[in-house]
Amino acid sequence: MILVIRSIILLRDRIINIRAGLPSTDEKSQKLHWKAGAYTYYATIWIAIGTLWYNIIFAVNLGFSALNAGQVVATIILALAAIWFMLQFSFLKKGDIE
Amino acid sequence: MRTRIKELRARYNLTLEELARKVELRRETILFLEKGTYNPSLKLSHDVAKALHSSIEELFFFDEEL
Repeated sequence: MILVIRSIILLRDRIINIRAGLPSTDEKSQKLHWKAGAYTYYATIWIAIGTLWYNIIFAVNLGFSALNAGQVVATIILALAAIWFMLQFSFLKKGDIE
Repeated sequence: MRTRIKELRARYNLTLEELARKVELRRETILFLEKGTYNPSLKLSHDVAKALHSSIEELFFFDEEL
């Protein structure tokens, strides 16, 4: 759902610019896009490690139910999508990130 | 950083869309440039200055230069 909403917002933005005869992407949008992607990559690594720690600390030692492979993948993908969406939105509002 | 983009755009009767089309940028980027919240690359600064018949030094300045 998050991916769908995000895609709709970005597509709408691009369509408005294309209809006005303007480029859909430029220096600023590409820079912010790449920065959001980089930060999402780092966050995804930590989320993957976090799911590992959850299974080790909470599931094995404290008796919580362990996450199976499918749940781990779903958690990572959902978190990745949410983080990327939030970062792109906040960077767009901010104007520039140095 | 501050810019005189809005002032020069008004002088030459250019709308945001017209200036964006000239320098091949999105409309939102021109808005951020005018506010001074986006630091453009050297090439982009040159292209915007050229479109507004100005120089980079006349178009962009930092607060300590005021």
